[in-house]
Amino acid sequence: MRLTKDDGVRMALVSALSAPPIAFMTFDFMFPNISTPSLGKNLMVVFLLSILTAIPSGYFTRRTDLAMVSVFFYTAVGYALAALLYSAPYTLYNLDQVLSDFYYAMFFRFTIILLFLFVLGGFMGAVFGQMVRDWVRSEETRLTFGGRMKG
Amino acid sequence: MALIEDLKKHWVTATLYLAFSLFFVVACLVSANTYSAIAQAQLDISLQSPHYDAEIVRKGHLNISFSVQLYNPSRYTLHVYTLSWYAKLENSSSLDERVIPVAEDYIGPSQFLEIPAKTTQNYTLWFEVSDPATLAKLYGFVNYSHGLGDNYTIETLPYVHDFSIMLIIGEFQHEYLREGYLNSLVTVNLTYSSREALT
Repeated sequence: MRLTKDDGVRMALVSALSAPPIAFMTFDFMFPNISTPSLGKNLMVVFLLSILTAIPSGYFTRRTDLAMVSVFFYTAVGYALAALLYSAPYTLYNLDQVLSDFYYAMFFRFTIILLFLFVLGGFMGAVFGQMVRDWVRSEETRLTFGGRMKG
Repeated sequence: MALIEDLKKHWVTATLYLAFSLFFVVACLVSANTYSAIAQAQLDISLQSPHYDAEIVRKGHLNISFSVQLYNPSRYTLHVYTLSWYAKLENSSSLDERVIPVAEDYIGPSQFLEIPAKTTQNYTLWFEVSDPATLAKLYGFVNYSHGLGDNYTIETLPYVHDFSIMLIIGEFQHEYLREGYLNSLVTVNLTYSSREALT
C-alpha cells in the first residue's frame, strides 16, 4: 500500500509527541534518584506507561501497520533523546566527566531492556488505540443514523 | 487537510495527548538540569585555605589543630557522610615505628552535619596531646633531630595532616542495592594532605 503525505505527517507528529515519555522513562531508569518525578525503576509502571504512550499512535493513524511503524519511530527518537539528556552535562554544559569510563556503554547496558518494553507496550497500546477509535466511530455512527432509522 | 480536520474533530483527545507529551518534556528538562547542576557541583565544591598549627598549652601538653574551609557554591545542601583528620609525625629513623600518631578526629553520618547551599563552612579540628608516651616520642624526635643539625621544637615538628571528607549532594542518596553508580554520582570526596596539594 502507498504511503500518503497525510500518513507521513501523522507518523511524524506521533513520533514527535510520543518521544518525550520514552526519553524520560529511559533517563529515569538510568538516574532514578535525580529525575523528577521518578518511576523508581519499576518495570511494570514503565510497561503500562509505554502502552499509554502508544494509544494516540493507534487512535490517530487509520492503518494498523503504520501505527506500529510509528511505535518504532518514536521509540528510536525517544531513545536518542534520552542519550542526549544523559550526555547533557558534557555536551551542552561542556563539563568534565564525573562518572567512570565506559560512560555510554553503561547507558546502553542498563537501558537496552527498556526498548523491548517500549515496543511491546507500544504495539499493545497502538492496537488498543485503534479499538478505542473504532468504538468512538461506531458510537458516532449510531448517534448520527440511529435516530433517522427510527424516524 | 485530513489531519487538521481529524484533530479538530477529536480535539479532547488531541489536547490530552499534547498535555501528556508536554508533561514529559518538562520532566526531561528538569531532570537534565538537575543532572547538569550535580555534575557542576562535583567540579565546584572544594576545600580552601587549609591551616595547621601546634602549640604548647597548660601542663606542657601539645595542642595540635587543623582548619579548612569547605566551599559550596552549588544550589544543594551537602550532607557530611564522613569527616576524618589525622595528624602524625613520620619518623624514618625508627625501624619499628615509622609513624608516630599524634591526633585524630572522626565524624560519621549519625552527626547529621550539613553545609547549606551557596555557603562556605569553616572546619576547625584540634586535639590536646596529653599522653606522656606520645609526648616522650615527640621530644625524642626533637632531640634526635638536634643531633642531625635540625632546630625543631615540639611546636615546629613537620607534622603531616591528612584530612578527608565525604559529602552527599542534596537529598539524592538512594538505597537501590545494585546501582552503586547512583550514589557515586551524588557523592563528593575531598581530601587534603599537608604533604601534597589540595585535591
